Amino acid sequence: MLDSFKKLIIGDMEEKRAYKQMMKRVDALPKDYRFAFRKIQHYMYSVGPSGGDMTIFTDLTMFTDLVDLFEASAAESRHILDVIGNDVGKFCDEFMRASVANTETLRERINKEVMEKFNKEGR
Amino acid sequence: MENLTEMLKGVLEGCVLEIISRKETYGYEITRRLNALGFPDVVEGTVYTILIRLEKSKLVEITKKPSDMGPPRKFFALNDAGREELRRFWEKWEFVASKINQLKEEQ
Repeated sequence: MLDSFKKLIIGDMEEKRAYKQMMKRVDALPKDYRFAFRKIQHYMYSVGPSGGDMTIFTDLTMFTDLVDLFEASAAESRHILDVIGNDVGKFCDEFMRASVANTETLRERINKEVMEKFNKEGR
Repeated sequence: MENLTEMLKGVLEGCVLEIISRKETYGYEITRRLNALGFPDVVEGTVYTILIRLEKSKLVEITKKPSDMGPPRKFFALNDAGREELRRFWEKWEFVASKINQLKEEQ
């Protein structure tokens, strides 16, 4: 009871701690990587995943995957653009698309709904 | 050749599967292999995205091994489902390639 009340007022402490820990790893990246990460994160929060599955923002796996990639590439001193390419927005979209869990996406739902309607009524 | 991104999009996953099928390998090595093959526009992030998708679709087995520089590397190997997916990819590729060549030579 108290736990759920606390969650309601201040949010999930575990989630916050995990987020802070991840952002600490971001802060430790070289500055080009750090800049790119923040821009990517901002873009992702703004446009959202194409399937509409917002859980990828709360579960953090997607962002920690991105930090994993950046840490490994930075450690081998590769240029950030050799990692994310010139079309960064596209990279972000693809990255979000790959990270969405196998739940039904909005696209699949509209397909199903429309197909069901016409299969029922015949063509 | 440059500016192939759009055209490559559908087949890049198959290419990555093929490279992994030869030997257990990691993201950057796959990227370099594709660059050396003649696709300079393929960047590490693109390959990494494909690897995440392969992992989610359970087509690969992953082992973490220490690297000389930086954090441990994730090595990828195909499992049975991955090998089956690769076989289907080549089947589809043969079909598309033969049809497109047919179209080209039909005049």
